[in-house]
Amino acid sequence: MPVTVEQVLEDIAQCLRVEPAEITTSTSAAELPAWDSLAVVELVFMLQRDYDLALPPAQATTLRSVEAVLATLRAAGKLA
Amino acid sequence: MSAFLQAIATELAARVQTNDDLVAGVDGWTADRILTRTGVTERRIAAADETAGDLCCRAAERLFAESGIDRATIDTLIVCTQSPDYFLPSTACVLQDRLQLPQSVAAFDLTLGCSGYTYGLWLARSLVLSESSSNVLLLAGDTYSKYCRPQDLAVASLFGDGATASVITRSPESVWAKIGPSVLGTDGRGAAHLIVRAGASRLPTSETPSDRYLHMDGAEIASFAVATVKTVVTNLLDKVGLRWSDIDAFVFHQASPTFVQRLIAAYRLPPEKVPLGLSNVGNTCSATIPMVLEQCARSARFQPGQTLVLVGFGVGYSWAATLIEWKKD
Repeated sequence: MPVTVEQVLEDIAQCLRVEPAEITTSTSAAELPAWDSLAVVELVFMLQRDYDLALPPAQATTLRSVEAVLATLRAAGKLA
Repeated sequence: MSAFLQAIATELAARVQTNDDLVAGVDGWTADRILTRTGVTERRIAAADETAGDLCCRAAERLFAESGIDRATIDTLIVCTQSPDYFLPSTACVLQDRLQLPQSVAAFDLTLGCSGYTYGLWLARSLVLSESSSNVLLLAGDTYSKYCRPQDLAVASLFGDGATASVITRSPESVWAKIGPSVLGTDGRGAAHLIVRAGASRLPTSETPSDRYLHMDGAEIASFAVATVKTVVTNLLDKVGLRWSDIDAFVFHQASPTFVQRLIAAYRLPPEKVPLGLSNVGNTCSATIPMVLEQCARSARFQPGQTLVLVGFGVGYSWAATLIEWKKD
């Protein structure tokens, strides 16, 4: 079942170990210290675990903003 | 004709490095952060004058002492390491003499990292099944800590130093496991994502720290691993006509305890089917799988007749999955 943007924001917050309120559709790694390289690893696993989505390795490093995560899910047809 | 894993012995570097030791003098890191991100509580670090060859040698001596295997019966020596004693000769040649193995032994190095043990099992089984070898001594050891930049804790927190010795034989007497088929693979496009650039022929020297030490793109590697491990296991099971649910245990390369837990969650595997180990050792590269097997053997975690899948994956990129049937009580 396609997931909502709100659910994705919650999942990202969980990966980054920050409060959900800190994550909006405009959040990016540049402004959030918790969004470091290890957090990107967490996002990679989250996409496989929660959305059955295996990224090509070269695409993994693009997961540096909420919009990039949403775009990845949208391209895979996973976003409502 | 079949090939069997006869025994495994482990040897760790003596020095223990805790997370508190690691973060001392490095800004931006705490011991708790390392533990949360990696699951590693402490790691073993080789001394300045201690090599992977030394660790492999001690592992082999321990194997001969504990198992009673006669070194004179070894006809093939494979040393899997990416931390050789020298550019040349191969570490295997040096260890033939140090271990006093017969001069009739075939000895060579296998320069793979985290896929090395399952590659080694595949190779040793192939040698036994083709009747080229009868008793293969497979040594797997590395000292990646020497490649880690001390300030780069995202990398240095993961790795520990150690080695294992295994014997693969055609004799079915008193063995730990029967070795089944493997599925292997390579994708050299990943070479730049886990690499020590300087020191060999392409770049003999460099003043740039990132060239002289281990460079790791964690997100790329995670993405590679989460996709590749699933594919290689599925391909192996298809090859032998089994399903994921038929497997009693999956022994993954222990990139880190947290990494393995992420794989368990991503594939929705029953946690009791996936041994977790080495939180007090660190990632010993090609030696992690045999170290976990040895720990499980000591605790009698596996039962005779159980089917296991071993999966090595990492630097290269390179990967291999091997099916084994456990025999040891």
